[in-house]
Amino acid sequence: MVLGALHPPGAPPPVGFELLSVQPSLDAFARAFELVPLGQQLLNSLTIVAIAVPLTVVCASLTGFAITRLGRPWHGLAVTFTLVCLTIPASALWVPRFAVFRTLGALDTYVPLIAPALVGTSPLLVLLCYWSARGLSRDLIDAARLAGLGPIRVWWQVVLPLTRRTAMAVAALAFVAHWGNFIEPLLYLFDTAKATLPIGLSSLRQLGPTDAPVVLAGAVVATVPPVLAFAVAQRAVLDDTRRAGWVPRR
Amino acid sequence: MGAKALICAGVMVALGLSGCGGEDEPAAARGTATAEAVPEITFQVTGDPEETRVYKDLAESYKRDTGRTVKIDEVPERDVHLAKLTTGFSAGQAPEVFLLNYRYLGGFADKGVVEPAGPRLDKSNAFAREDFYPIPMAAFEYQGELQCVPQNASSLAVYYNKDLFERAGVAEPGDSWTYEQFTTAADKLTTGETYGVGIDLSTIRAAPWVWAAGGELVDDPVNPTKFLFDTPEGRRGLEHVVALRANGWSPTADEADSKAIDERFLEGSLGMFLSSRRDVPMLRTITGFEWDVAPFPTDVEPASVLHSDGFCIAKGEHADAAWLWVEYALGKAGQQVLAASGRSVPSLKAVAESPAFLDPSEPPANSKVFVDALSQMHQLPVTANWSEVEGRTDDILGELYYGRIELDEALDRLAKETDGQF
Repeated sequence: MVLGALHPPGAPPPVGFELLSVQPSLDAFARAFELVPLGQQLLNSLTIVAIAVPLTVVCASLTGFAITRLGRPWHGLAVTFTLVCLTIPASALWVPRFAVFRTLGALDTYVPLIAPALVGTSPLLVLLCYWSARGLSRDLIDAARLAGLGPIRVWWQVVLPLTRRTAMAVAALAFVAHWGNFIEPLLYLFDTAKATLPIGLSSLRQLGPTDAPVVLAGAVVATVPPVLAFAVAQRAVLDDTRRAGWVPRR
Repeated sequence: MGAKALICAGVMVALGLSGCGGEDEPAAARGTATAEAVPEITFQVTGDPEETRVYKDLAESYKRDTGRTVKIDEVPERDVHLAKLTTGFSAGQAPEVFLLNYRYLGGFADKGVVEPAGPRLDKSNAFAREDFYPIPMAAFEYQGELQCVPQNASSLAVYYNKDLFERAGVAEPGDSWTYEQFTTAADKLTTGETYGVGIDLSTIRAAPWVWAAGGELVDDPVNPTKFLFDTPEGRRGLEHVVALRANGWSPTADEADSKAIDERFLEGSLGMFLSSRRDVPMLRTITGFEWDVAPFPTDVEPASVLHSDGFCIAKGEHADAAWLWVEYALGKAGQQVLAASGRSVPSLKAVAESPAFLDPSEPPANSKVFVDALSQMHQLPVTANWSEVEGRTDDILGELYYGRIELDEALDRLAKETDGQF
C-alpha cells in the first residue's frame, strides 16, 4: 500500500514486482489532499473516536459487570437479550435511528455517530466485558461491597483494574468500528465540512485506475491511526488471555 | 454487489414501511421566487471528486451571479446516494434537488416524492422542451408526466486504440460500422499480447445488442412484465455479445478480475472497449498512443442505449428555490461548464452541437458519435422495481458472458427471476 502510494498518479496501477522499482514521489498524497479535505476529515474522525471509544469502554464494562451481579432469571435473560441484539442487522436500524435523531434535532451533528457508544457500540463488546467480569471471584466482589464500596466504586477500583486487558481489547475494537464507520456518517451528516475519513476514502475510490496511487495515499493516511491504536493495545489482544481475566469461574 | 444491494434493499423496505415524509410537506406554490426570499437549498449528487468539483464550481458561480446559496452534498457511491435519498425521503428530510439516473426514477416517482418538472419547464423563460433532445426527455417521464430535466445524454460507444488498429492493418470505423466489421477488427487486434475488445456486460450494456438485432428489450416499454431476451432477435443479440468472449477476443473472467478492462485499455493491451462518455476524462490522461471513439456497431439496425442523469426536485416548500438552481445549472453557462469537463454529453441541443462539446482539439476527435447516437438510441424502462430487476439481470448476464452458464440456462433463470417483477 505504501509503495503503491509512492507512485506518481497518471498511469494504471502497477502489478507484481514493479512495485519495488518505484521512484518515490509524494504527488499522490498532494493530489489526495487537493481533491478531498483529508486533513479536516482526519480531525473529524479523531474527534469522534476520542469521545466514542472511552465512552464505549465505560458503558460496555459497566454493563458487563452489572449482568454478572444479576440474580436468576434476570442474568440469563440479559445474556440472551444481548445475544439476540447481536443478530439484528445494522441496516434494519438506519431508518428508525434517522427518524429518532431527526426528532431530537441531532441530524447533521456527531451525536448519531457517538450515541451507539452509550450501549457499548456493539453487543459483542458488552458480552466480552461480561465474560471477562464473570471470571472474577464473587468473594472478591462481595468483600469489596462489605468494605463499604458502592457498585460504581467496586467497578472502578476492583473490576476495571482486574479486567484491564479486556478493556483495552474492547477499546481497540471500538476504535476500529468507529474509525471505519462509512454508512452512518453518510446518512446522518449533510455538511461536507463534517465528513469523516471513510467518506473521503470512498470519494477517492471513485477515481479512475490512473489515480490508483491517490487512493492508496488516502488509505495510508487512514491506516496510520488504527495501526498506532493496535500497537498500543496489542499486548491486551495477543498476550496470554488467562492473565486478562479470562479464567474459568471457580 | 451483495452489500450494496443490501443497503438499497434495506432502505427501500424501510421507505415502503414508513411511507414518505415528503408527501406530507405542503405543496410548493407555483411561480418564481424573488431573489431576497430564496432560501438556501441542498443539491445531492454522486460521483468522483473531479466530477463533484464541477458542481461546487457551478454553485460558486451561482452564488456570485445571483447571491443565492446551494449546498453541495456529495455522496461518493451511487448505491449509497440512492440509500441516502431513500432514507431522507422516508424520514422527511430529503435534499431539495438531486441528480438521478432515469433508471432509478421509477422508485421515487412511484412514491410521489418528486416534484414534476414538466409544468415548471413549460412556464420557464430560460428554455423550452424543444431545446432538449427528445429521447432523454421521454426517459424522465413517469406515467405521462415529465418528472426531472435531463442534465446529460450519453450512450454506449466503442473507444478504440488508433495505434493498435494501424498496426493490425484494420481500417478505422468512421461514423458507422457493421457487427461484421467490428468482430473482424476484434479478431485482428487479438494477439498473444493484446485482446481485441472488452466489455463489462450488464443489463444496460446488453440491451443495445438486442435492439441492434431488431428486437425489443421488454414486452411493453411503459408497463413491462418480462424481458424479451428469448425472442429470435433477443437471442441473436445475446449471441453476438457472448461471441466476443467465446471467440477469445476479450479477457477471461479471471483476467478481467485481475486487471479491469479500462486499465487494459489505458496500458495499451486492449484494442477496443465499450463504455459511455463518463470515461473520457480518464482516457484523456493517455499519452502513449492515440485513441478515438466509434459508434455502437450496427447489426440489423443502428442502436444504442441512453445513459442520462437528470435534475430532480423534491416536493416541498423550497421547490421554487430548487427550480431556480436547476434553471441556472441547465442554462447555457452551466451546461458549458459541464461540457468542458468532458465526461457528459449535454442534454441541450445548442450546447451539444457547439464547439464547447465537439471541440476536435481535445480527444476524442469524433465526439459527434455521441450526438449522432441521440437520434437512434433507446431507453431502458422506468418502473418502480427496475433497480432490483437490473441487479438480478446483471448477475446472470455476467455468468453468461464468461461461459459459466449456457444461453438457455441464462434465459430460464432470467425468466424465473424477473418475469412479473418490474
